[in-house]
Amino acid sequence: MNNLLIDLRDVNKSFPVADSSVQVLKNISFQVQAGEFVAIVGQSGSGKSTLLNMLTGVDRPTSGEVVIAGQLLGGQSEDELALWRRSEIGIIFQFFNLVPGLTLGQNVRLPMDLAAMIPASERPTRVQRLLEDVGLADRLNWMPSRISGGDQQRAAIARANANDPPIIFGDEATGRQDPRSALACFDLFKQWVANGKTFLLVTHSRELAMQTQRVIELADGSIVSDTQIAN
Amino acid sequence: MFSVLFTALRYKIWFDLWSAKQRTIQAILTITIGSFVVGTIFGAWDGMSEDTRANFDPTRPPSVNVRVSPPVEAQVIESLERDPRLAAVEGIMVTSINWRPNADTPWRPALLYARDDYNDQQVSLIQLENGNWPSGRQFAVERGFPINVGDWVELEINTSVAAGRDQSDSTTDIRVTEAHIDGIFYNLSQPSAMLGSDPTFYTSRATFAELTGQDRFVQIVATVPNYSVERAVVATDEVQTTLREYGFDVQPGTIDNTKVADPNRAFFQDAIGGLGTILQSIGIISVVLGLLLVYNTITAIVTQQISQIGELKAIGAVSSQILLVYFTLVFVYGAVALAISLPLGLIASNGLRQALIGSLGLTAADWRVMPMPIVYQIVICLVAPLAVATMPVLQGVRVTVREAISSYGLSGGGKIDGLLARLRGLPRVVSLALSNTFRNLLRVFTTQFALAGAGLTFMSVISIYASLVYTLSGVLLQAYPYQLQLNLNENASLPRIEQVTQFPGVTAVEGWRQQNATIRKEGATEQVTDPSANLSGIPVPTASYESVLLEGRALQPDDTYAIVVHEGLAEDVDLEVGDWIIVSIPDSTNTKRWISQERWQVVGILIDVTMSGGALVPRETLFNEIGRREVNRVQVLSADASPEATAALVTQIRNFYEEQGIDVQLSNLVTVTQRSDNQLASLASVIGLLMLVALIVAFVGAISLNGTLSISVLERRREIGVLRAIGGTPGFIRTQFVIEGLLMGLLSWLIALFFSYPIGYIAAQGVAASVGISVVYQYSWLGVWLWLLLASIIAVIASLSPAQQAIRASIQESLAYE
Repeated sequence: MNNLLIDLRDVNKSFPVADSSVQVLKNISFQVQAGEFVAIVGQSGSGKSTLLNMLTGVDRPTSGEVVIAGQLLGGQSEDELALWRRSEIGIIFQFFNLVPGLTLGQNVRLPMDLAAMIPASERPTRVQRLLEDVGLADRLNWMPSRISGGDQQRAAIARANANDPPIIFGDEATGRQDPRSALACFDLFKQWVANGKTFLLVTHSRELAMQTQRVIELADGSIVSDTQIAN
Repeated sequence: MFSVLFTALRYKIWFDLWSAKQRTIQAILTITIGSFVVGTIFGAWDGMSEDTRANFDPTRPPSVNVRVSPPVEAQVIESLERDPRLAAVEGIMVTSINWRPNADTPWRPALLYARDDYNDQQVSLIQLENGNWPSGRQFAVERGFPINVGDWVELEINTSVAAGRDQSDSTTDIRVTEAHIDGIFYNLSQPSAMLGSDPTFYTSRATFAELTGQDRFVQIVATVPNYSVERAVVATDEVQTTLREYGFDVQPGTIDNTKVADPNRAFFQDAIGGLGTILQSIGIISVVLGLLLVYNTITAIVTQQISQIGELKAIGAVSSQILLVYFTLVFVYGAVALAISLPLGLIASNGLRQALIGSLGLTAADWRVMPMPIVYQIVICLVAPLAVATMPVLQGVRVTVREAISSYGLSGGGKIDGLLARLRGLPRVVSLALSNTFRNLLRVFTTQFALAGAGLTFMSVISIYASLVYTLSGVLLQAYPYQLQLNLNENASLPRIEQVTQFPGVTAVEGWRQQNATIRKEGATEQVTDPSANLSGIPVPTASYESVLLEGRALQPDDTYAIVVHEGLAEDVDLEVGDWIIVSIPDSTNTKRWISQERWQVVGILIDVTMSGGALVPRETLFNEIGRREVNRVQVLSADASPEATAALVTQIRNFYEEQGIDVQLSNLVTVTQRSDNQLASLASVIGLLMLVALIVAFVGAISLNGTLSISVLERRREIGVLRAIGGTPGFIRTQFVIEGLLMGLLSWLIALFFSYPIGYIAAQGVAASVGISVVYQYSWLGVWLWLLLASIIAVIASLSPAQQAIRASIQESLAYE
């Protein structure tokens, strides 16, 4: 099978601290095929979120290469990365990062407006449907500050799929949900994968990770295991 | 690129504007004030220039303006009219008189003016504002005085008896006549009531001759065809030569002591120019301070929204789109500010223009819309904020997604506020306030720039005010320790005038000799344009004058050909202490020749606003040069300086001299306090404007501090929530912000204090130069303490509203704030 979508080659990341530096990622290399549902697990401080930042172009490796869908992220400017992100990936942030001045509907619509890939006339309907998918159809016009953290996270999930990107990254994407909502969201992720998307989920929950197709475990900045799950 | 404004981001812009109303109002107010002040000031200034032209141009101002002595007959004017180098020539009759509205009020000085035919004026036209041109025994008066058409006034006039060409042959008598006012005139060439001047009464030539015994002209005004300075100089030279051939002395007739006048430049242009300089300074200060505030506000907004910028980038927004969002925000601030400040600026500029033009005694148009100030306002509202916002917005946009999402913002700091927070022995509320004040050093710097700038301007303005008042009033009171000055219409011997020494209360009497002369630097060729100098021959030492010197020294007892010149004259002739000059004194009976032409050495340069074009020389040397030991000015020192005692002494001395046959020139019988008051009145507009500057900068300073503290509240809302959640009382929070405000106020005061002396000195010299005088700089400690008080009050008031804002929000809202 040659359907390679994500290719990490010897990725290292260090942060300067006082006169020395701390290496957060050490020689990370793995590949993800299109349509895979991958969980990245590890304890706090293991480097999961830093790895996700490398994958989404939010941060750059100190050394090594990150290639997504044939594109080397390292050499691209911030604007080129932004253009790439708007069409190729969706991100569910750990702290949701909704724009406070916009309603949930406007937050979900924003990536569509920026990318302009979906005709303007279709966007309201799509916003409505995406919010329905996460159970927030009745909160289209609510401001983020008026809803719970769990609801904000679900709005962030809907926003991540706004432009129907082939890859979605989630950082503790159901961490603020109650168990029932978390399960519903996870089912949605599975459905996206079933429809051909690739999903990388960063989580500290081994239980959740075991429901994906593959689990990559990090410890102290290194991959300690990479296991295919038979579901 | 602009398509981003049609995305959901337009709601974000609206949200940013609407949800932070206080910040929005702050930003709009800041820009509005800058634009309003500039619109007002430059609108007023441009309008004043238009008004000036509208007042001055229709009067057909003269290019040649000379006073002649003795007065000339009509035939002389007619002969000059035939000169092809002159376009139009007119003679003017004018003399000093006294007037009073009724017999119960004291006499006050005035001028009586007449010309050949008011209905056929050729040069320096007078306008009839109300009533009729005087004919027969009718009178008119210059506008602006409390005299109306139909009023009766009393005039006290010196009447020459058997007046001949040589005034020394004539005798005079005093005549009181009742005058019915039939007209109100507007004569730009006469001093304005608004400048504290004496009134000018007008009558027909025949009545003037009948009342004064003088039917000749003392002043000649003329225009030259196709004016140029060269043509005017040639024409003036011709007039002077002709008159001298007839045996007349020729002196400058213009206010600025020249014989050649530029008809395209009003004589009050200097005063207006001075006002303009001050006005423009206010405008520039307001705009600079305003833009600093805009910079602070935008930096705060961007700092606060760094994480949002990161979020936008993460979901695909490129830099240009984010830039556009923030520029649109700033543009909206500017557009609203423009909508408010444009009409307000128009109204205020017209009000200010009318007030200033009115204060100069000129006529102001009802309404003027000047295009350039509107352009300035558009630039200040729509372009300048965008330019100022560019740096903070670009800095914000350059932040990477990771930095934006994981960091608090752009502001770093930490070292100084960390150190301050660890200071021992301070109450917790003070150490927290100290630490918070210096948390964002860039903002401390820009706020201090605005606040210390306001303080510095305030202190400088008070010092300029003190310097002007001292120069215009204090110097006079210091320089002239006498109470009375009497100018005599005829020369008198020293023993005759010194008889008043025996009067009760009189402590000293001094006779001075006033003498017209022309001066030029040694080695320079004699020219018609050589400046005239009014020499004062004073006894050395003198008890009635104390020179306030810019350079050099005062006259000393063993001086002979030593001269102390007025700083204006020194500048005109380019004189320095030690220079040798040629002083030429004309023969009063035959002006074709000099009775003295000697070398004198400049030993000092003095300041005295009442002595423009004057110079002090030893009286004995002057007596020797003119060959007469006679004086024409008397200065009296008395023990009781009260106005009542002075007024009584004036009457007593005057009556005594009149009985002795010494003719006292009525309009120059003044006390030093009156002179000082007149000087202050003449610069009332400038002083008023300086006070306006002080008020504006104090206001802008208050807004600046309020803005900084408000932004500080916004940034620390979450932190304030935490403080309150762990038991910080509203009083604790409020005290923290008040202390922060006071610290900022105190720091700005210290910075302003450090620079206030040199900046005040430079500003005082600049303002004085712009109104055509020199000042003795007086550093004002009053301004220093006043600003400390004002800065403290501003700090407390400015911090109360943000403090209130900080404790108004619920703890939950504060903790949830992003």
